[in-house]
Order: sequence, then C-alpha cells, then structure tokens
Amino acid sequence: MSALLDVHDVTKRFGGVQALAGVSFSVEKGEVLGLMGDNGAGKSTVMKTIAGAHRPDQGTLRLHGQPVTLRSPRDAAVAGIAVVYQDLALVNSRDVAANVYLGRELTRFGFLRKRQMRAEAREVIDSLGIRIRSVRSQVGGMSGGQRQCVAIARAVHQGGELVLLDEPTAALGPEQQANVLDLIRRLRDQGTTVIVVSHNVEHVMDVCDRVVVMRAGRVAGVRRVAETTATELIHLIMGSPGVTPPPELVAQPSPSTDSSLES
Amino acid sequence: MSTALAPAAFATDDAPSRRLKLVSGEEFGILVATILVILGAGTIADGFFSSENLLSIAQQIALLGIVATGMTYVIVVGEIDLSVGSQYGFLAIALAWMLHDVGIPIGPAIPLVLLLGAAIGAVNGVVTVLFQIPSFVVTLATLSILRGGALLLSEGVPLKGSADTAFRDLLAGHPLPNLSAQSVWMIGVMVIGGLVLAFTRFGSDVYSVGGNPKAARDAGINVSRVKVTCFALAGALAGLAAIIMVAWLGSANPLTGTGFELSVIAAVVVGGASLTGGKGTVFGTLLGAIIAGVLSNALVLAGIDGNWQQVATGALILVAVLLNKLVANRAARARTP
Repeated sequence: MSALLDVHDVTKRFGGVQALAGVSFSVEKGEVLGLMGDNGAGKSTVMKTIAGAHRPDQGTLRLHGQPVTLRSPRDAAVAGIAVVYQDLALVNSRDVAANVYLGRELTRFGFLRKRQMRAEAREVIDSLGIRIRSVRSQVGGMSGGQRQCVAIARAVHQGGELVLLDEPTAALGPEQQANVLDLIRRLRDQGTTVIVVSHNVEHVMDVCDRVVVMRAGRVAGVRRVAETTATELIHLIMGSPGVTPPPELVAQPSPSTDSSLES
Repeated sequence: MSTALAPAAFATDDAPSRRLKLVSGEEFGILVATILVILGAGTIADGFFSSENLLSIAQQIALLGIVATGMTYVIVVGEIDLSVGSQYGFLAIALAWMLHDVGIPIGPAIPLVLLLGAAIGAVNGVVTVLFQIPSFVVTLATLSILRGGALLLSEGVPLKGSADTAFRDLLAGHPLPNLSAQSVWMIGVMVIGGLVLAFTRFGSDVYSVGGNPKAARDAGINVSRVKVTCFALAGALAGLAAIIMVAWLGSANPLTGTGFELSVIAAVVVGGASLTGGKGTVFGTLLGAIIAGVLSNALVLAGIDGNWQQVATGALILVAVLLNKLVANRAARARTP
C-alpha cells in the first residue's frame, strides 16, 4: 500500500493557543483511518486542515506523494478530498437526488436532466447499500442515519477519493449507527479511503484499520486496530499510559469520568 | 443496478402515480381547494360560469399573477419583498414621466422601465445580502421611499399615459373577443417563470438557497447572486405590470398599488409557498391568484357587501396556511418509516 495522504510536521496556532504542535501521520490508500482524541486534542484542526478550511502555519500535506497547498475547501474538493461535517449540509426541503447533485446538477440546453440525475443517484445509493425507498423523498423526512448516508453518498458521488467523516455516528440510535458503520466498510470495499473522526472507541475498533490518537496538539500514538485494545486506546486518549484504567471504564465508559468517551 | 440490500422492489423512484407526475402532493391539495372554491362560487353566484365572467376574472388577476410570479422566486429563495406594490406604482409614474416630461418615445421607454424595475429589485437584494439585513426591513424602507418618489415625481396627481394605440393594443387590447391581452401576458409570464423555476439550474439553485443557504454555499452555489437575481426579477415583473396598467388605464396614479404587496404575498402563500423558504411553485401561485380572484368576483356577483371581501381574503389566507400545515404534517408522518 502507498500513502494517499501524508501529513508532515504540521503546526497551527490560534492566537495564544498551540492547536497543533508538529503533527505527522499518513493515510494509506484504501484504508479506514480513525482519528481520535479528547476535546481540544486537535483532531478538528487536523481535519479542517486536510479539508482546506485552515492553512497550516508550518508543515506540508502530500497527496499521492506530491505536495499540495489547499487554500480553500474548493481546492480540497478539486483534489478529491470530500468532507462530511456533522451538520451534513443537506437541504431538507429537497429530495435525495437533488441533494446528491447539489451545486453540480446535470443540464442539457439549460434544462435539468432530472431523470438521469435520479437514476444515477439511485445507482450510487444502491451501490453503497443504503436503504432509501425513493430518491424523490425529501431528505427532511428521513432518519438521522439515512441523512448521514445521503451526505456520504454525495461526498462519494462528487468525486471524493478521500472522504473525511466528522463524528458520523454521534447522535444516532444503535441500529442507525450500525447502518453507518456498514456504509463505511462498503466504502472501503469500493476502494475509497476514509478518515473517521470519532470519540467512540467501540466504533473505531469496529470499522477502522488503523487509529491515530491525538493529545494536546500532538500524535500520541498510531496503532493497528488488530494489534491494540480499547484499553490501550483510552490510555492514549487520556494520556495516562502508566495507569491501568479500572475495567468498568473500559467496558462502559462512565460519563462522570469522561463523558466524551461515550459517543 | 440494485444490490441485495436494496432490491428493485424496494425502490420506487420511477413508479410515481400519474397524479404525482403532473402536480406534487401539496399542489394537489391546493388544486382541490381551487376547484372547491370555483364550484362554491358557481352555486352562490348566478352567471359565474359564463365565459365572459371567467375571462373577466382572468383579466382581474392578470397583474396580480405577474407580480406574484416574481414574488414566488423571492419567497422560495427565503426572502420577502414588501416593496412590490410601491415599485408597481412608482414604475407606472416613471413611465408616464419618461413619456411626457422627458419625451422618450414609448418604444425605448418600455425596456427602460423594465430595467429600472430590475435595478430597484437588485438594490433591495444587494442591501439585503451585503449588510445581512432582513429583507423584511430593507423592503419596508423601499416601500416608503418609492411611494414618496412616485408622489414627488408626479407632484401628487395622476399623469397621462401614452396615446399610442399599438402600445395599448399590444399590452391591454383584446386579441380575441372578451380575452384581454393582460391575461395572455400573465399566462406567458407564469409559464416561463414556472418552467425556469422547476426545470433549470437557476431554479434548482433558488430552491437550494431557500432551503439551506449554508449547504448551498458549501456546494459552491453563489448564494448572494441567486438572491439578488430573484429580487431583480421581482422588480422587472413589477415593471411589466406597471407598463400594462398604464396601457390599460391610459394614465398613471401615484397611489396605485398601495397595499398590493399583501394581495401578492397572499397569492403566493395560499399557493403553498413557505415563508421560511425552499418551498413553493409558480403553478401554486397561479392557483392562489385564481382563488383570490374567484372569491372576490363571486362575492360581487352574489351582491355581498364589499367590505366582506377583505374579511374573506383574510380568512382564506388563514385556512390555506392551516391546510398546508396539515398536509405537510401528514406527509412527514407518511415518510417516516
């Protein structure tokens, strides 16, 4: 496997806050990479840097080995990086097909090719195994899980080679979480590279190949999921490698200890 | 193309009922309401169904329909234009003033008035998007400014229109007996306005911007430009209505169109558009205008006190909005698995 994206020694400062203090990691082509960390660890800043929303103060990003400068989210999109933020950016009053094609509608002689857009939207939805009865249904009437899936389908359809998912399973019920995790596996099966930003250790262990754990603006550790444990990941996140956490914390993270671990 | 997880039998994209192909579910409700209002009018008012009477309704709602087409764009894009009535009055005075005080011939005066209308609308839009002021406030200000402008320009008295008979025949003549040119213009404007909104990239952008401006911006749509274009369109159509009115009456009154914005907004809202944006069609607006026209016509024919017309119009708006809400809630429940 070769690196699709190389993040090399990236630093970013906001006023007096050192958000990123030399972050390096790579994303292999075709893998699902988890990006974990407590609130304020810097994972959002990393994500926004890759998405073109922030420019690093120092350090470089390499795509396919070539250095890239992402001045805007548009640049990132052109480079094949698609981001699905938590707000999903869907137009609730419009149907699935319109949302999949948002801003990139197909036209002929100035008129929309609605039939073709519906057919292709259906094809994308089906190829990702998303259960949606009709691509003519309004997105606003759908479940959170379906909406998440529509947003991901758009990211893939609009040419995302590297898809960044920001907390894709937060605020979903268990069944919908399972659907979204299935979708992530299917993306990998199709050869799409995925970065999942998540608080949820269980979901990351479930769906990712590797995990990058951040703490205080640095990479605290990179682990293969097959070779690590939830306990070790929680250690890395909390920054207490010497201490063995009580088993109940590993089994079911308690909100009183750290609510952010819960999902 | 279907996978095991989503078998073809599960997907129903291409099998909508015939009715859904012609009109959406919500429009269907308005269509039924329109037919009921027409049938009701026919029973309480003798002679309602004569072709003469029906064509006269078409004439009465023509200017409403034209201005409401522009308003549909503005409301669907998530804004409002309270100044259309003043624009309509001001542009009528501006036309008469150009013809008589400036001496511009009618030929060039017509496009100038349309452009002036578009420019006034564009100013409404630019101030709204540039300074992030609610369009309700911006257009409330232009409502007052333009009314004052019309009174100043005309020195408070009605101005004479054009004596040009070709102008009159083209815009307010009778291409067929009883069928007035105004109605033909309305149909033309609404057909083109409806097609553009429903079937073009620009129309699609209008729905996206009105539905979720942030999502539209993220998707690369120029939100400000789409909004300003909608306001400009509303201004140009207020200009067209003003030109037709001057041709029809042969004069321009500076107080023309006072309160007109309310009838226009009512037609759009009764037609199923949502004031929160993202929802509404020109066809719905046409139905809204027809309902308003039929109602006031029937009350006149039935000899009911004219003051009841206002009461009926208000009640109509309330009923329409309640019905829309009901339909929307039912649709939302039906969609939830």
